[in-house]
Amino acid sequence: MSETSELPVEDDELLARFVPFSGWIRPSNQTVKPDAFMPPENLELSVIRHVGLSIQELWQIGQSIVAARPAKLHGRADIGAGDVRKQSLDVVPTSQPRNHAHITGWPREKSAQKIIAQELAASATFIGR
Amino acid sequence: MIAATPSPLILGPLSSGATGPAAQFVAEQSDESLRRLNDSLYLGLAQSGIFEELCGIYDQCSEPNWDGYGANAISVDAYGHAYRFLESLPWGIPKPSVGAEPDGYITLEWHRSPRWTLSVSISPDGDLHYAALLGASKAFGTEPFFGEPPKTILDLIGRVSIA
Repeated sequence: MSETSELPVEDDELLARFVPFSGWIRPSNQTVKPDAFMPPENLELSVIRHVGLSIQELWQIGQSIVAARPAKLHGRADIGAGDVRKQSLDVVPTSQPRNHAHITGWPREKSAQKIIAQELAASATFIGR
Repeated sequence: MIAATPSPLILGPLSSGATGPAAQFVAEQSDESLRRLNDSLYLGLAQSGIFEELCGIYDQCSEPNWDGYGANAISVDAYGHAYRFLESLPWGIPKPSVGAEPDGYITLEWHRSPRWTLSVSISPDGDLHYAALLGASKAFGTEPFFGEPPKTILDLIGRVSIA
């Protein structure tokens, strides 16, 4: 495990949200939908920090996420930690897996989550696999 | 898998009460015109392939963990409400893009640009949770679905779709 995983997430760091579902990509222009940034029921959205990883290592982590089921890794949505915090959310590192972090601080109300997810999607860059 | 089936005709036949060959001919032509009108009204979204797209999303997401992050499965109830919501949209509404969220809700998105976009989430209970970026402003909230599309959402579709 890299020691980087333990360090606080800086605003200028890039975070990757892996996209294992084609329905999260707009077919018209290959951008990511807000659906990819909607939090699960525990309100902890999983992302992987770029810092300290090669692009190859980053994709390997993404592949391991979809390996839990027979799915295709379609790509990843990269977003700056500073853009996340502009939405009154936070990025909290976890000890495992490597470079993993949670986007936290989500409101409980569904439509309020959706408007934040739209802002995140608007700030994100989709990179196809 | 759930089959995408078209809805029945929207408009009924017209009758003037007249009889005779000419009246019969007019009635037949009227029925044919009506059938074509119904087809064109329904075509809007049906012929766009939206119901097949909805079916495809349901097929991909009807088991738990369809996203690898532990997502809930899309329920038959959510699928049914999404189907009926699409059927209820009036003529001229542009085709949305279908998606799904980790809680098992189905999403419909009308997207013009990153800052002109509307997403509607359809719950298994038939609630419509919407959020829209409208340039510098935004709108979000929840509306129940009782068979007719809420005016709030129709207005937002119109604002987002204007080129």
